[in-house]
Amino acid sequence: MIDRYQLPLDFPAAALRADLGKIAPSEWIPHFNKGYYDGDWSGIVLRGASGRCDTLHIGEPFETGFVNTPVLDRCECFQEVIAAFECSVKSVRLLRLSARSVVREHRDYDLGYEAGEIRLHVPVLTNSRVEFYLRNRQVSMGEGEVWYLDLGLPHRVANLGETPRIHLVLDLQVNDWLRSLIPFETPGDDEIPVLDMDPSLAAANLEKFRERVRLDLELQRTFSEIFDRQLFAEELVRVGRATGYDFNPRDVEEVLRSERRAWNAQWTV
Amino acid sequence: MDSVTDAGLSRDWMPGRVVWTDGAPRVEWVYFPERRFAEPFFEATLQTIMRRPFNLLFRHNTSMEFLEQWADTHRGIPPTGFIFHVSRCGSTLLSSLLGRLSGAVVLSEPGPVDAVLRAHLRDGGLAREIQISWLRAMVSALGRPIDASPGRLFIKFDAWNVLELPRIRAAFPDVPWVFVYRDPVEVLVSAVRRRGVHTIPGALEPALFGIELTDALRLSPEEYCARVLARIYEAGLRYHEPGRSVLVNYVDLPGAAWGQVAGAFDLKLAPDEVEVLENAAESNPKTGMNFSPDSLEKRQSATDAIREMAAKWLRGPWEELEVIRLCGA
Repeated sequence: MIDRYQLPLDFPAAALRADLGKIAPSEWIPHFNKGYYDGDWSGIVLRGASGRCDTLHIGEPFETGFVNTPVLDRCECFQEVIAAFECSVKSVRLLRLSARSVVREHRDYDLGYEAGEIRLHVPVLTNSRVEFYLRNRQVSMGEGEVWYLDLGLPHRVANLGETPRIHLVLDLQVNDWLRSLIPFETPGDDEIPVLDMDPSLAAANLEKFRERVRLDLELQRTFSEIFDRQLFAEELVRVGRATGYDFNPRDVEEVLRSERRAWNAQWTV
Repeated sequence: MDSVTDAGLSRDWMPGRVVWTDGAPRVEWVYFPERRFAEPFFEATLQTIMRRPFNLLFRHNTSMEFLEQWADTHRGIPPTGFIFHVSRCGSTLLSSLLGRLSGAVVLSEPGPVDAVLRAHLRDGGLAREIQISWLRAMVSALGRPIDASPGRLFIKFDAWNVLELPRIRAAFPDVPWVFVYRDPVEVLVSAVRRRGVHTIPGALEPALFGIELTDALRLSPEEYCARVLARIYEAGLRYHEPGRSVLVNYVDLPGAAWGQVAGAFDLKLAPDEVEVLENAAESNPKTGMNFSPDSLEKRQSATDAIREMAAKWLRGPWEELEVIRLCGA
């Protein structure tokens, strides 16, 4: 399954930005997932269940009865974006990640092509020092572009720049029109072939690769922000093999387990 | 070693704990770019740090000498003030409150600092100057600024660390401290009800409290806890230095945070900062600082054995502390 795709649509960046000017600073509300972020992560509800503007929470899965909020009435360009989608539009929010703020790796549950509901991102304001990672691979999104992202997979974002990053985020019900635009069923690149190799050789290779990573700040950054264990193992295998160290995901899992035991056993000093 | 950056330990790393290998202490480093201690205890923050799979696979293990070099090139915040305490006396409320101040870094019972402070009990031949140098390096490596401000570093030590106050004073001759204590019966009720590391015989080196393990195991729980706590009360009393340290009774909390403690630490709090502390101290279940005085409940549940041991071992130093606190010093 494809996990990211830029749709053949785009919207005028200047007009999108003009709508931002119609929103007062006090109207932004902090995101409810406080454990996930450092700095400021906040949003505005443009369309929500029962028209509630006071929570960024989408509500129960498959909630119905989405209506526009008074903020959307002011924003013509955002209305045009919504009107461009020939499918049922559920929740629509603006999400803002302020300068020098970070959202740590997490998954958005109750969402996905197979469940019949997908999320699209339209960057309204961004900068060159925004780093968005889906499954630990960067996605660069420009203002006015439209992106499908499978956010049920681990993802994170850091705004290392000096200006906010504001995205229009739309939750849509999948229909034939969306299926004609987005090749959901295209095979992804997430299959890691298991190598048939001697386990002790694999363990030795992993050990050497660990030593290499410990001394290499660039490689450290490749892995340090991954919290999902399965993704961590897969990424270690992918980058390890590309660097000349062959081992399998189960070798990583084994070392993670033994290191956890070692850490827990040595709690006394 | 050429430069510590070459060794793969950037500014985003921090000592997580000290382990002893072949008779020598080694530092285990963890990746912690946030540098924010959001939990009320260092150990709890360390647990969240270890949820990063990266730290299971790539943590570093270095000598104490490496730590000293690293601390030379990655400067920490000079300590603002130290908190010593008898345990179960409101000290965590105090340290959590100070953590609300802007730029504040609070190390609450940091294990790596305790390990350095007890290193001479593991290695009798350890030179005092070396231990003091390790202590400075460890505090510097843990207390790094979280933003561009100069920052304020507060350390709430483990209760038994007050016994090592002379070493701490030698390492940080200019840093003021407070000693927090509480009515002995109330502390003893809590200590017997739920043991701490220091009140479990043998969990720390017996030499620390001068009670041999074989003797400790023969004592009643009430008496063992009382004798350990007596050492801690006595140390707080013995090392008290008017002008540099301040005695804080539990009954003066939480106001002492923006009163006596702010004075002792020379915090020069602005009115809005005092307001932040006052609001944080108010009953608010969400902030976890729901400060509910429970002296009455604790006194009522004190057994005769607890009253007897509190009177025998703790009343003396407690009364002396109170005389100094109330008669001004």
